[in-house]
Amino acid sequence: MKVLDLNLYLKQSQPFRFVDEVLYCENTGAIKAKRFFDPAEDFFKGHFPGEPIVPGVLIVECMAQACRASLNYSVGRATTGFLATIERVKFIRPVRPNDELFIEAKPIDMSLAEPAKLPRYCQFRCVVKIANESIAKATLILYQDV
Amino acid sequence: MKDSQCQLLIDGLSQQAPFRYVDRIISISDESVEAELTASILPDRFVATAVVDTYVMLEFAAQASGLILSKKKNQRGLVSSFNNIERVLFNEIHFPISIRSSLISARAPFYIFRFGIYVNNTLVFKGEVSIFLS
Repeated sequence: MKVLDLNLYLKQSQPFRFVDEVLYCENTGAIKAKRFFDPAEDFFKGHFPGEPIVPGVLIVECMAQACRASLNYSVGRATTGFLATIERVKFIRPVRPNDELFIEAKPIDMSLAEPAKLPRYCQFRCVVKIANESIAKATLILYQDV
Repeated sequence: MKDSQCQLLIDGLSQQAPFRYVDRIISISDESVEAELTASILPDRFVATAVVDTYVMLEFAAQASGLILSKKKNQRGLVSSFNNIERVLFNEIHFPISIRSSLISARAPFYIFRFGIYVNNTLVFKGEVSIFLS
């Protein structure tokens, strides 16, 4: 798998970058990413005071950024776009400070493997794990301005 | 409800700054809520012209819907799922944004709300959020 240069392929930067590393397989379109949640992250102060938990919406952001980086790599630049649809995202258990998330995603339509035919919408199926335990699952559709 | 009572409900949310995403309750009942996010409570995080990220709208939906549960049950909830989320407007979205959310299923401990988020009364984002009361 290829390690993607996130400074080239993601517009989001700190403190709103929610992937530490993204690996991409050009043959299959498979994506693997990880994100460590440092206890010092600002949002823990408010979510929740005295009992820090990673907000579910930021787990969605982890998945979306991992998929976005692979899309942008296929296009060859950091495009603009939106998370257009979430068919369903399910949070199985809370994520806490010092947890490291492992995100696995795969495009459901394989046009990703053919950059010349990239559609404006790409659908991904994502699973987020801590160690080998699934903690969230989602089906996302990203829109890109290509 | 009076403004002061609405403010007490917001203050009672488990989510605190810098992760509080409701500014004002316009109206609230046991089954529905209309609320506003102007970003005025976090001026160092957003500026008036800032583009509203998807995560902000999702969290706004969760927290505003949670206000109904706070009013009824005074318990803290966690989001268990989002369903059928759809961005309706593909242009950039700017503050202020408002929400109308209604309780559509109450099977304890899961409560499901259907919401729409609006800019100037135009629907820009919609979906459902399920909250698990711990």
